[in-house]
Amino acid sequence: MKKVNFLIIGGSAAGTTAADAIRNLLPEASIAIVTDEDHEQYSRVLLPNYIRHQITREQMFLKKPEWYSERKIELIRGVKAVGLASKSKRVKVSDGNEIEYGKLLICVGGYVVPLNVPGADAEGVFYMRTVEDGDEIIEKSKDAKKAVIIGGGFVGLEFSSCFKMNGIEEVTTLVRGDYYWSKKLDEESSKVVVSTLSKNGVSVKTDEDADHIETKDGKVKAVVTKSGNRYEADVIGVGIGIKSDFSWLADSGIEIKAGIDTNEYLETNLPDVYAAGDCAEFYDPVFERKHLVGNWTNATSQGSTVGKTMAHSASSGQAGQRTKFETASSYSINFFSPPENGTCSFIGVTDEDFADKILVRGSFNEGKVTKILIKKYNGISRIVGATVVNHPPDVGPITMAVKNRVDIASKLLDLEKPDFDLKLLVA
Amino acid sequence: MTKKYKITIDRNLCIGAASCVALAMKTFELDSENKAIIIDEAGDEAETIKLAAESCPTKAIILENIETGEQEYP
Repeated sequence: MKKVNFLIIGGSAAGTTAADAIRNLLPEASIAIVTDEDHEQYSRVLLPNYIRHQITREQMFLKKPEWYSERKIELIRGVKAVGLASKSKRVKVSDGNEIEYGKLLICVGGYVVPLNVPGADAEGVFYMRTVEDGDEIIEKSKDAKKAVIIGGGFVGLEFSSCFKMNGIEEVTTLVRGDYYWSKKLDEESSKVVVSTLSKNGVSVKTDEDADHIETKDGKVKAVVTKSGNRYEADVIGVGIGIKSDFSWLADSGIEIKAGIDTNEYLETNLPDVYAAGDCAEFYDPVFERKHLVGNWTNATSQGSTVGKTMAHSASSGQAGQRTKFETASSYSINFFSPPENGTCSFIGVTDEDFADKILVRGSFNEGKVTKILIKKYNGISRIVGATVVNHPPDVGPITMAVKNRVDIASKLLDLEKPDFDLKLLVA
Repeated sequence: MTKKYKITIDRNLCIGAASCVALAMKTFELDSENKAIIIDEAGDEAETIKLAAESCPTKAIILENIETGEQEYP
């Protein structure tokens, strides 16, 4: 049976960064990464750029095979973890082997939630998660004239520009809500995003829930919605969410809520087992609550943090240190090209229910909206998060204000003034 | 002597994902266009700066070893 000091399940942002951080601290430790994808680490963030022909397929890859050999990190590709026996410290993998670990990091990320309607398995239904998804979208979009996107959100936005830049003339987005991206954006911000989409020839239909996909000879033909409308489509892009697969952990005794439950050190309830990235629901000291975050920045910084803690624990305190994860992560998307381009950023916590007060800067007419969420902690008014549409200068200072827990009580009246420089919050 | 990098940021590639800022806060920050800029080339240790560069999802951070003049990343 294979034995390693550090076993990492998941080879993307969190796993690769953790392996690197451990190697920096412990030059001799054995480290293995198990990934169900048959690739070295690549950038999911760059996947849309690849589909839009802005970069080559090769440029998407962040690590070459040599990197793993130089860093003495074993990459076990194309294999899934199928079971965890935490008492004997073993992980069973899909090729039948078992691997014994000293420390285990679970950072399996998520898989795309499949569209569950009749016809959804037809040729021409795309998701956007893996290199192979990208290859398929490029190939099958070649002769397509009409595209339908199901779901409004980061992936829906990426599909919009990807389809357009692959020469598809008619692109229609169907969303279930009464306005675009209603789960994450306020209506005013949403209108700004939709106006950018429309300037780029993408139309949005609200209150539309897919009922089934009409097919011909196994290929998609149209999306028929519950309201009875029919949208012709040569290709369909689906972006309705991401989920983690925890079925393999069912008998392990690990605590799972929305994600794998961890403390602020990303330690789970099981000894020597850690979790990071999209699958971890960690205690977030910045907001004093549990938090599940699915973005690249969060995954890399959690990987780096947990690597230090794992190395520290494995070396009996000789290397690294037990490190709290304490970062206000933000994530941004740029869609379409100037001058009719749009940007959208999410910072910290953006669920309105969490905030005591919400302030809005800008408006649809100004073409930019920043929504700032404010919450009181022990008498201190803090910004806990924001959504920023088409106004990048707001992103940096708000992120800093969140991270540094700045008391903004004296600035509450200024925040909504469009000419107020947010840099003054953190000056 | 401790290792030092000459850091360059390709602004065309940078999307403001801010993983460099999260990992090496004393070296990088975001400017008003939501692009990464360098505040201090030696703000963090070389190893941390390397990790920050490697974490960039668009490979927009280029590191050159000041001593040897060799490009170390990407």
